[in-house]
Amino acid sequence: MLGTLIRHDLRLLVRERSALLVAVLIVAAVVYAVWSGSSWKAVQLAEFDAARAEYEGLIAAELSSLQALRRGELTIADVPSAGLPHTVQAQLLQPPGPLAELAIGEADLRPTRATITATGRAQDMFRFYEVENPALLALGRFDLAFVIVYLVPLLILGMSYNVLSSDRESGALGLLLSQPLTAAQVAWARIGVRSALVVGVLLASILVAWLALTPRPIDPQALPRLGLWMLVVLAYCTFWACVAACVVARNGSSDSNALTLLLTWATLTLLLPATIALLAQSVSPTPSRLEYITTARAAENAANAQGGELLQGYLLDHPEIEATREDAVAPFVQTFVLVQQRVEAAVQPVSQRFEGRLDRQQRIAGALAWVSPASLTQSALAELAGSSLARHRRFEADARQLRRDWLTAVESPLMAGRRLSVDEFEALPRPQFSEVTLGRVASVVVPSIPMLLLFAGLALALARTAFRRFVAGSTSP
Amino acid sequence: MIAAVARKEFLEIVRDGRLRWLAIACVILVVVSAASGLQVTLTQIRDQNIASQVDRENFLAQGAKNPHAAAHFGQYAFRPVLLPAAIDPGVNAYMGSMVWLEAHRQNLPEFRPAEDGADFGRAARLSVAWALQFIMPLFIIVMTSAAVAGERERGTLALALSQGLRLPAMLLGKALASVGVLLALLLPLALLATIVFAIAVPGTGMHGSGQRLGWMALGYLLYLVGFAGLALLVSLLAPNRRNAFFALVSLWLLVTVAVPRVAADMAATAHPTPTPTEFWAAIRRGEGGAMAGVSAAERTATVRAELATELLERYEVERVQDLPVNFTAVLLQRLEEKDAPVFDHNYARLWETYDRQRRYQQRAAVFSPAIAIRGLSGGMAGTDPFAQQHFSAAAEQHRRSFITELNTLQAVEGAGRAFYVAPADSWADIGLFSYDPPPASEVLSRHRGDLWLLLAWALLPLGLAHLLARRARPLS
Repeated sequence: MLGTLIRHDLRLLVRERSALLVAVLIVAAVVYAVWSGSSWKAVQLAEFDAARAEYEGLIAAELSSLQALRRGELTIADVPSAGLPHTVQAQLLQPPGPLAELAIGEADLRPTRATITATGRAQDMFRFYEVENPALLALGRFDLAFVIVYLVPLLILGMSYNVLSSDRESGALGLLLSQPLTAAQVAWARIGVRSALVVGVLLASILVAWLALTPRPIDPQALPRLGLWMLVVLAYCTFWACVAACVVARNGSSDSNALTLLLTWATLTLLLPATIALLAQSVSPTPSRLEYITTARAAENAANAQGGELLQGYLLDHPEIEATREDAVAPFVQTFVLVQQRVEAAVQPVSQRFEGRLDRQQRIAGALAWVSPASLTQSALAELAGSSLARHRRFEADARQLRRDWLTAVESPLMAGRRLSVDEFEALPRPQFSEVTLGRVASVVVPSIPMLLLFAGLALALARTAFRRFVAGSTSP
Repeated sequence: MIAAVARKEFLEIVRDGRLRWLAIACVILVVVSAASGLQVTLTQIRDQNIASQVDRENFLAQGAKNPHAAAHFGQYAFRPVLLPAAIDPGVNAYMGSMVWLEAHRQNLPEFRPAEDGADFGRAARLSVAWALQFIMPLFIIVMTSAAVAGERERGTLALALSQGLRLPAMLLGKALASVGVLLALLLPLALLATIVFAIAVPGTGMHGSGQRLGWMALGYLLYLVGFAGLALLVSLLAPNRRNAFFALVSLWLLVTVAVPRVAADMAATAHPTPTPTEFWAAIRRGEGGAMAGVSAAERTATVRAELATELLERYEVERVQDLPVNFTAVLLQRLEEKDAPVFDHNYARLWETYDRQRRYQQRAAVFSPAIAIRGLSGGMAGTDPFAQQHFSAAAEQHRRSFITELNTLQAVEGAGRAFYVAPADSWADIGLFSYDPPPASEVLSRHRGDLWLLLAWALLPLGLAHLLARRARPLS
């Protein structure tokens, strides 16, 4: 009997224009979102490749000059800045995530390049990237994560809100339940068919659109990540189908169901995430950047006041430098580097406090996200796409470590005022962004799937309770 | 008759328990958002005042040093936060809050607050503007969607019309009731906000906040009245409540969420912002300057040679060391002057791109009043990109002025010296940055189009509903 009901419902859905409309809407939204995300990623990849090529060109030219100097083919007059420890630079570049075209998240907001020189200030390592129009940044791109988190639930709810009420309002429900069927079975069968239609069209169109539009070459991590992505989407859609059942089981009228589901959607996807953001920011506000700047500048004044004494003090502390001392680096450059070391020492507590607060805020936001299916899904999708804050902070940490290693490597020749040798140049730390491994991403994302299913289970339990009280002929007040 | 309909409709809305709870929830949302917005804004204003003061002290406390070293130490300019930002933080979180003014370079405002927070995935930041732009229209839809369609479905429409009530009058009465409910909800809140702001904020440095808030209030009123009109129009046309409700929710989604996002995407595609690499590479190439395409080192060498010849001729001396001015300082100033058109050209291009993107989106505002209200509200709150541009232009003007002062100091006092160290008290004579945001009238002139669109949005659905009501056969 249930099989007949499902087949009949499916036939009705296929014949109804609304099912076709929903399918067309899903395909259009998915194709547009994947196209929009892929266009963005293509620009990012081009920027990444150009920057990498430019940097590799710089390094090759520098090395070639140094080798030519060693062989005597060139003189210092030909290449005056060759091997100067304060002009050579390192660049760490962060490529867009393996699936960034599906969830840009806040990746378009953050710097993807760290430039490191011995004379560069720590706070300037990531500078000069704030070019994008803030109005566009604030809105964000129309990406697939947006479609899934906000629009797909509306479609599932819109397809399911009247699976019982329409029959009751037309007088057919009593007839239907006179068959060996319960209201719960009818509701679940219909919600199942409708949700399966939405999810089926959604997943198929994601796969096709992604294969057709994603920028080439495809990252080797992309496919397994896409598999996990689909699982998250499936769990999220299951949750919304159970929410629909929960409301339908209250036995309200179609109008009442629609209103309740709309308000539930607005609360779960708009209000709850906004409240989580507000709570996390209120409980652990990140300290103002103003403090960082003013502290750094006060420290710079204090260190500058010591001026040449800093250099003298350094040379007294490092007598071994005297043996290799030359005058290729001007003393004011050496003093500047020492001043910057003082400044960094002074701002370190401020930086640590900032990082600590940010960590705490992220932890609070992460913990609170577990009560919001929309936030949980959003962060899981961003994590899988490689657009999460965690991946960016890893990049920042790598850049800071590279800077420390770099400064250590060039300090001795710089303070001795001599150029780097070919061997020293070749031994400099080589910047390389290390992508987060699939295992690590999975360990972060996978727990969110049972959690989403738990939310679904909760809604399911509420629906079961409500179905037990279901009376076909009347509506709940 | 109209008044009777309005009174009856108003009472029905007030007595509907479901709507009462929804209204209470909306009011709580607005109050919490306003309180949180005010607290954040006042903290920002206070922090910026302190930072501004400390930065001045730091600049003055540089001690004896070379003026060009002082130019590299530079000054920080802080973009002021205006009081209406408590109502609409706009894109504040995505704009740099300060700019470093240093020798040789016009910098972009840096430290965007959105980068300094946890990963909220662009979750809405609770604000009064957000509640008014997204949530209140939903409330209006729930409140008004059944206004005519419900009466038709229940059969009371026929009864009312048989009593001599005309459909246009009925519609007007219902419109008045909806707007009355809105005003009853929002006016006390606006009054409360005015009192709290007046008490919480000192009278100085308001930058025309009262006027700005007034225009914002008018904009939001038109925006919400438009939704009430649309809800009535759809309710008039729909055969039943369900269809009216679904059509309105779809329109809400389209108008507030889909169109603004797609319009932004299309604007970015039609007028792409240069990538950071392109932007800075164009400046490095000297685009817009007299020596475009020449490397920085060659530019400097050429300017140095030309200046040396010019000064040696003017002062009739043989060597630059014999000049009555410090040659290095004059060269630095000349380089600044040569670079100025390069920065002007490239920043003007960037702002022009922003503006084209804005105009592109504004055209889409014909389909989405949410774009128009966002533009007007953010503009008046000083939280739109124009606020950043206006501030950046003033900061750059100051940068050039104080760098000139420092170069002049070195040129005059350092004449004949290879390396000049200015005494510690020299910095007190150098100008410090002060900034006045544009007056409300200037902001309004930029958003006149938005205001007209909102006016049309407020009147057209109501007018159309009235017109259709006069011609309609209401019972069919």
